[in-house]
Amino acid sequence: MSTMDPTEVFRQEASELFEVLEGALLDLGQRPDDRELVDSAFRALHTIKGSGAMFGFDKVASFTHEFETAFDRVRKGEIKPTQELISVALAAKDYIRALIEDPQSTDDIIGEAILDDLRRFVSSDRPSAPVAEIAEAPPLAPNESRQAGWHLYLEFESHILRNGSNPLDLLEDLCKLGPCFVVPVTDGIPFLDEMDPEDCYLKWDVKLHAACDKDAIDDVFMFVQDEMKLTLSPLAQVEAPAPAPLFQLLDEEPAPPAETVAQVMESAAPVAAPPAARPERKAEVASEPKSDIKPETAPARREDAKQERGIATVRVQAERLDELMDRVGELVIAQARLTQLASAGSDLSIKMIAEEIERLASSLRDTTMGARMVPIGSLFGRFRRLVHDLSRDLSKPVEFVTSGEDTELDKTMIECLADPLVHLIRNAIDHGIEDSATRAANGKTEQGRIELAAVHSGAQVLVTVKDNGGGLNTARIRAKAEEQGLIAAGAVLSDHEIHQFLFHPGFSTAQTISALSGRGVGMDVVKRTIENMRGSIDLSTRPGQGTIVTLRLPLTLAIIEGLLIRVGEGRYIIPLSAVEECVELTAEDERSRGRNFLNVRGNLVPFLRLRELMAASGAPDRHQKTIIISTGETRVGLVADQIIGNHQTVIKSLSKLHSDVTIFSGATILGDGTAALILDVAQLVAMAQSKVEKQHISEAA
Amino acid sequence: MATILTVDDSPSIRQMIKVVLEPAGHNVIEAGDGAQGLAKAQAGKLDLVITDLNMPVMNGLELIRALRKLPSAVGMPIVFLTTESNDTVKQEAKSAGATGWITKPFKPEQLLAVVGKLVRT
Repeated sequence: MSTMDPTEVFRQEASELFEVLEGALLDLGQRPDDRELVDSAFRALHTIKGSGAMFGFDKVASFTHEFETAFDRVRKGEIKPTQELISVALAAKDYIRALIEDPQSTDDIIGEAILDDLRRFVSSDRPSAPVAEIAEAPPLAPNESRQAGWHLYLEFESHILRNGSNPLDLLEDLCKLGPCFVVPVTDGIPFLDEMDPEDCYLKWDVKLHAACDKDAIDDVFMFVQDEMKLTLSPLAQVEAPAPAPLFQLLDEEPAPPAETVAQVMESAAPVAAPPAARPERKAEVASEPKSDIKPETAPARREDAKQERGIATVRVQAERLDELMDRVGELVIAQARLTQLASAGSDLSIKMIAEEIERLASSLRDTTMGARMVPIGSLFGRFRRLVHDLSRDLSKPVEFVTSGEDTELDKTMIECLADPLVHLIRNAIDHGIEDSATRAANGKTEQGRIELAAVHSGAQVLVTVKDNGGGLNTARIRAKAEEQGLIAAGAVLSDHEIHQFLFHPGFSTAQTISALSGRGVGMDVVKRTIENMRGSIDLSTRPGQGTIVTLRLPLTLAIIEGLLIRVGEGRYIIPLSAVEECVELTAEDERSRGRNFLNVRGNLVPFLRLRELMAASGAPDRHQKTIIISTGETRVGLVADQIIGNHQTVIKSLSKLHSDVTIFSGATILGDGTAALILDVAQLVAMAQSKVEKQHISEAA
Repeated sequence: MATILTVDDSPSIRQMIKVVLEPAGHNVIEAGDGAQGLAKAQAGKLDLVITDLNMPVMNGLELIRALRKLPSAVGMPIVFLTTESNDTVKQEAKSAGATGWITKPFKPEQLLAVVGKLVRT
């Protein structure tokens, strides 16, 4: 069949169709209301018409068209197929058959007569379209313009790809007309989660450098004309001979000369706004040579330098800084809520704003805290006089050495630190440093030495007061504690534990109460003050060699960076400064239940299960996470259900009712308004340590 | 080489399309009505469907709508044949999901031009 001449196929097909048509017409005489028959007859006619025209049977096509037009009213049910009508229709059918099978035997006049009869029956007053109009493509319009090209703006309906049209193919066809600059316009692209991958969101701005007819362009888009917006305007003149690649980046487009730009803008007025606006911007840039920029910035820098030499500092009331810090704290909480809200939604622009605000809030916090930072040296200066006076009063020559004066601490912290340090220095001179005679007897230099040092250690500042005196008299402290009934006589206590009694209220071992110290109000106040600042105090002493008091202080009182974690239902904050890393608790670690050691790259790290510690209810998450925290040398793992993320934590202190809760150092308000407790890292480390020791003991036993 | 399905109740039209497109290097398969056409489309991947509108059993519009529901036919070009010069038929077919049309009668060059527009090899 594939080798057969289509015309011959048509003849065969037509004879079958005539049988169908004849049968349908005859049956219609019996059953005038049968829609099926009408449709069948009509379809046969239609095919004869269509195919006839295809294979050169023009008379068949035009006659059938008339026949069809007349018969259309029957199809629409406007008139009934009467016997008379059917007779004429059968005559018409015979005429068509003759036209195909033996065109010579037919006469146009007979055809006209049949058609007249048909028209009369259906009383069609509609003017019938001559078939020639259908058959011939409309002639190309004469060249309307002599311009050098076209500026096109293409915007397709989003479903265009689904229906099988490919804008890229269309652009390619467009490029066949001449060199094109194709610039995709991306502003219609939605957010990823709103995007339908089968939709077309791109628009195109095309400059076609070819003096082709508008019809040629229309021809490219003939199938999609109803599904697109095509804005077409002539280009004024050839801008560039353009050895144009198919697609070219906007930036690479050779900038047209300025006068051309103006002309294009004028002529491109009806084009959509964005493309029209672009040359304008270009023109601006072009009129502003780059070399202008440098001489402008140079004097500006010189001015900056001048200003630096001018006003270096501004005195601000401390209260104002405190207020500012409060506001920043509130802002950080509000920002956390915004971030939470934004991350729950899908609005990308809100997310971007939230991120921007987070960044700003974070840097505002740092700046505000920075404004409150004061070098500790200002405090140290005061003690020089103190040491001098004490040394004179007690006739103990003392050398006073300070280091780390430029270590910065929060202003409030510095103020709070003054009194404790006074106490510690007094103690050091009064109790620590021996008198000259004793020192000489012990082979020490006559002059005692007190070192006051400050140093950064992570997010903490260590302030140490070190003397080279006689050290703490552990036996005397113990005796005093027994005397005061703080411990039972003979109780087993480590030296370190005994030294802690120094921080007990009302505890003084000074045998004579001097004007300076020994009244037992000192060390307990010092300890309380330091702890109120979320700091810690530690004593270490070596008999005959001296004592070191170490204060560990956070950089700031108000806000810390925290790691937000979830344990069961509860959420907790771990100060980020203490976090070393986060690892998953592997099944292997899980199996070593009871041992509670984690293998972190070959090192054994004890861990605490926060679920057990917090008595969390509900099922634990399948993949438990371990947060490795450290204080100095010791590392401890904390096992949590989930690590939520970074959280700027505005610290709210716990009420007095909770003062005996040791593992929390405070609380904070989260973005959703709920509270999270802040874990006290030092306490947790100590707890893990004691657990380890207990385990060692039980294992040893 | 593209696989093109021609759906027409008129064998002569199918033959004509075949005779024009096969020498151009395309693989032409045929169907006599919409239902057959749909079955052929379900059976294998097609690059283009050329369908008549007026057909028994399942007409061209129904075929276009059915094809557009096939996941394999998303984005597949569908061309319909029409003798009507009026836009209502075109509009109806386009909104059913057709990509383009060929006005009957057509010359071989016109058919090749439309196929060339929609099928890239």
